[in-house]
Amino acid sequence: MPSFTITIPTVLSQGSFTGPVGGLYTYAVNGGSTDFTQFMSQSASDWNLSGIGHVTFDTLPPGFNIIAGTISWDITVIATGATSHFTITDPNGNIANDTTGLSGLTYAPTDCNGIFVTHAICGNFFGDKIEMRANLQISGQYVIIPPFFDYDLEEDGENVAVGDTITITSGTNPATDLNLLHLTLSWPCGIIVPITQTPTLLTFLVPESCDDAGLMSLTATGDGFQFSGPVVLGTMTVLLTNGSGIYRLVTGKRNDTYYRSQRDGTTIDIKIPNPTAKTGFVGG
Amino acid sequence: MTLRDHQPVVIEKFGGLWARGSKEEVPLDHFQDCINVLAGTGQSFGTRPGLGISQDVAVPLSDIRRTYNYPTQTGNTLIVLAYDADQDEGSIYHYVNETTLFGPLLTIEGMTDFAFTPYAGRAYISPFSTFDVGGLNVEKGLEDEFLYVYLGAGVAAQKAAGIPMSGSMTVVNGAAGHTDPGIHIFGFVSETDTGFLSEPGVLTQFTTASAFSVSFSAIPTSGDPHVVKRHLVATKVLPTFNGDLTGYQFFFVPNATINDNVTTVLVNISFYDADLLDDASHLFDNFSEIPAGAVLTLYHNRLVLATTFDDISLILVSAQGEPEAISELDGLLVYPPDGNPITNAQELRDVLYTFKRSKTVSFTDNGDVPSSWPLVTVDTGLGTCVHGIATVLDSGSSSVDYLIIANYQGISLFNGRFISPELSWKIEDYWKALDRNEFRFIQIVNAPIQKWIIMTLPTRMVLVGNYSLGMDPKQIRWFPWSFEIGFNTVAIWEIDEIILGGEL
Repeated sequence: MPSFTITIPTVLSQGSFTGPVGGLYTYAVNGGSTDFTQFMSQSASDWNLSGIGHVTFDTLPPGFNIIAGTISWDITVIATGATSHFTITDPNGNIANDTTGLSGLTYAPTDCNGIFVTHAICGNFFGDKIEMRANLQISGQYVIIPPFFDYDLEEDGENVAVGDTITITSGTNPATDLNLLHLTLSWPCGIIVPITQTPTLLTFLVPESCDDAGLMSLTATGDGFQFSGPVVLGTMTVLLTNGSGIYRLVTGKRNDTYYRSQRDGTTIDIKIPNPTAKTGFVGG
Repeated sequence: MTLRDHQPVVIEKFGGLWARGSKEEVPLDHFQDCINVLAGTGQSFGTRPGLGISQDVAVPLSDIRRTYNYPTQTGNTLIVLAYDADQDEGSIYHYVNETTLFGPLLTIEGMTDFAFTPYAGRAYISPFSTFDVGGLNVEKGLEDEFLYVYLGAGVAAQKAAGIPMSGSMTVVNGAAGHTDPGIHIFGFVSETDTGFLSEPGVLTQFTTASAFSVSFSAIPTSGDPHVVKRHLVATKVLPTFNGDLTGYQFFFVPNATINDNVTTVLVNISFYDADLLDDASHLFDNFSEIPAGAVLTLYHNRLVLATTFDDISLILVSAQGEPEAISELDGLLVYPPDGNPITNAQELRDVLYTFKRSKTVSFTDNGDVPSSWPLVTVDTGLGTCVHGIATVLDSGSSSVDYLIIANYQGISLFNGRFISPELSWKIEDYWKALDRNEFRFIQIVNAPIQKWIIMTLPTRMVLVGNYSLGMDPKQIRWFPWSFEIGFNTVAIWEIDEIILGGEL
């Protein structure tokens, strides 16, 4: 599972959390000194904002589906004439109080809706003002749901061979289409060197090193422009390219041996394809 | 019925694939479907044998289109065609053993296949290809190509037959000797390293004197590098000479051979006309270049070639014991033209059977020239394809007193007529699902040691018929095999080693 780090800033404001969540994956961290300003309307009492500080992650970058992680925050309390206390509660009921600096709670993998931040502000007298600045971070693991990013992988699930051209195409909408220019492709059998790489078109040849590699997953690694970390774009079965030649049947031999495509005298052993026999219908 | 009442079904033998009728009709002891399995000599079955490589060399051959058994003077070998589809070029190699490969012996553009027959240790090779004629694939000899011969020692194949010597020479009376006095015409016949005798050339008129021998000088050498001898030929005394140098009967002059292609003199040759017994006149009628065909075989020690580019119904037959001496006048057999090409020919019990895809006729050597041989129609519904007659063991020939023949009906035994039901009766549906237009990919060998009929199919798969329980339609057991590559060709090497050649 690919790992990730996404920073989602949330700016506290009176009565609710708002912030520029959404769009791309990286954001400015600080909201500024006026991010949260609350003037006490009561004296010597706590002001509980519980329930209204529901930070959601619905606007996470498109295609990301968080399955596990840690929510952390960095809140700075700038109190003038008042004492500020705050509480952060995650969906599992875990609570952190009055923590400043980077800290965290385990993010509940079953709930992607977000967390509740409850503020308790203690003022000394009427007219005290409190300012808070908060950054929330999610770090952990995610998957990208491939269909969310539109792209077309030619040969997905098909048989290919060395020298075949694999083509990936995408649209131009940055919110929903993979930007192919910011991908690095890889698979276990060898290095992929693109022939063409534009935001909407990426082509490469199946390299010699992949001859008869079998089922291969084609992985794209983002450079952070759209996402970071690897994601599987599709699978292909890489067949023996050119095992042609002169062979003999060998009694008792339990596999087939072929010349390798490189024609360098080396060979490759392959299992005999699915020996099968199906009798007539019993009772038929 | 309770489980207690259930009678177990015991299957004690396995009869291979049954592909005939509906699946409900498949006998219990047969397979409605199978792949890559094989019955042994008994009733059981298991996984087919694995493939091993046949070349232990740094750069093994690839893209194998055709192999044939090639028995040479010193051992059994293979002759192999590798076809480069990118270049549309076929190259023929001589596979001697795992580590020894000669060639390419011959490389020809457009040669996608070739016909072959061994003769006295030599290999006769005829390049052909497949042509689309109104959607029908027709195999016939390549245009402007010829029959070739390979001597078996790794030297490139050469064009069979040969052109006559040309030029002029000087003829004078030699030392005291004897001739019948009068007008003679002298000439030379070149002989190649395969024994081919060319048409007489360098024809020169000279009047001999009775008390003298005849001497020749400035004798041209042949431009053909394969010429190894030159023989003097002469007419008997001509009472009158009309100026036509070729219009008379020529004979080989005894003891008048130059045993090289270098010497330019031959002196003091004495002979009487009565010594002129060995007729050379027929050499004027022979092809100097034999057109390529799609069919090659031997019959009564004669080379038989058929289906040239220009005439798909013509059969060329050589003189007996002289495979490259084919008369343009009387060495021809004509198969009744019907728009279909001759696809195969094979001797069986002293009869030459010739085939089209759905017709069979026979010719019988009556001791006269081939053009006089009687034609008998054998079957007007069944024939075969270009490689559709099984060869036996590593002999490179086909006959074991019967032929095994593939045609549109199936795989049949042939003993002068097609025996019904065909051997492939149990897999009739499987066989008839094959693409008829690609039957050129069918090549069959009969491996009596294994008791297998093994063949390549238009699907490029391999089909094996195991006849260890009997060579009849009910007892033979059929098994299709698949591989990572497609196989085009099959042969047997060293008695019982089955060779498969394939390409992508």
